[in-house]
Amino acid sequence: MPPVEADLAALVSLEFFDTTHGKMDCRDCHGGVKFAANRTEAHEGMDPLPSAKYAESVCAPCHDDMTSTFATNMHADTSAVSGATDALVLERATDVETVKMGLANNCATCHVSGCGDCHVSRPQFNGGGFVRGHVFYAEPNSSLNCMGCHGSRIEKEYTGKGESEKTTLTADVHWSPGGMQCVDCHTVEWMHGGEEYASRYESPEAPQCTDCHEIDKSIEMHAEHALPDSEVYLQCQVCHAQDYNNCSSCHVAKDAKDLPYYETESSGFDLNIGRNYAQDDSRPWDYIVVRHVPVAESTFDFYGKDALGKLDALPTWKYATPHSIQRVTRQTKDGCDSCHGNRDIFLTEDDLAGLSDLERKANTDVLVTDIP
Amino acid sequence: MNTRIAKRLLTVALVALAAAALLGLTGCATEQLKAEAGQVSCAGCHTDRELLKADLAATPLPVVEKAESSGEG
Repeated sequence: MPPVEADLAALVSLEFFDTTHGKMDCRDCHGGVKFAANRTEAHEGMDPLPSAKYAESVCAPCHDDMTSTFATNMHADTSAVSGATDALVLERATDVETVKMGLANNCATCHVSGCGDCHVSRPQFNGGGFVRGHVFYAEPNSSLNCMGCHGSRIEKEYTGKGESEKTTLTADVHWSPGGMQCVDCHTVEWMHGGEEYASRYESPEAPQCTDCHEIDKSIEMHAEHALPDSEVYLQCQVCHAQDYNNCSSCHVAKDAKDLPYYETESSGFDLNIGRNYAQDDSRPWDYIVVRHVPVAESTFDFYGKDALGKLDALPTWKYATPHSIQRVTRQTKDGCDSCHGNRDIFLTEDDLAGLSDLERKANTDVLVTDIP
Repeated sequence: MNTRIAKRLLTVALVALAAAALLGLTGCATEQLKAEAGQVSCAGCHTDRELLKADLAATPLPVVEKAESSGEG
């Protein structure tokens, strides 16, 4: 997302002054000097992001019901994803301290910068800038707030910006006709935390297709594959996801000026059905769609060689919930033959060609060896 | 007679007081836009795009240096 022009980013609309927040003195939240000779003097002691620190922020006195629990939400620090102390990748580490160093410098910096990142401005990750001239809004704007950070996978998939060599992609059915917003599924209960959980899929508030959709048992494919007592039970996305983005081989480092950067070797849209390597009550299916994540043995080599010596501790093709849903996909358009006997649509040895022994081993439980 | 005048005066005073209170409650915007000559106020600058533009052109914001990443994050 291109950054907003600096003057527009800071322009307060007159509409703001008709709102509850607009009736407060600017200094109540931001500090600074009320009347001054120039910008520097006016901004003395001014805090441009007073909503950081959540429970201790300026928002807390009125919005305590949300600020008090927000720290438990993964948006607060992306803890399990990239946090320096409990990121999932640490399970693959043989040199934990080296990986933690890389996480702290390159990965753990990705998190929201306060309530304002969703409720008044674009995320600071994108350079910030008011969305509605400082008017606060309860529901984040999908395009300007959520997709500001969730761009390479969610935005491309959901809005149909991806390209696949195997099929023509369209926007997710939830986006294209009615324009369902992110918050329609990712509810306020989830976003504002409360219960602690180790990964985004473990949240009790995580959305399920069945929250809205009742499975139509009169459809033959549903009877065969969509019911808990089906002989082969499939995750809904196995049939109804279009191709989605997969990335390979991300490396993190610092440049000559000591500034952190990353390089991802490649990425591309594809879809692979794999065996459900982590079957449990919340993911009871036999087959799932799997996305390649860009971890490699050498991801943290800048900080120390071969720090991910246990790359095989978790698959690198992982359980996925793509935002590319359509009723008819390349898995359904030709009936049973769309998948049955179609080796290309499953994750097979062919997909592991050229990978290291360790990465091949990582995906043993996901690979489909006998094509149904 | 005097009582009636006193009551009217009291009513007028109460109405004036209420209006003043109302203005006090809703008058922040006006208040925030006001500044003495030669001074700037928060709202005075941040509601005037041309002023912001000119100010930023005269004194650009410091550039935050970022390394160039490649590929998708």
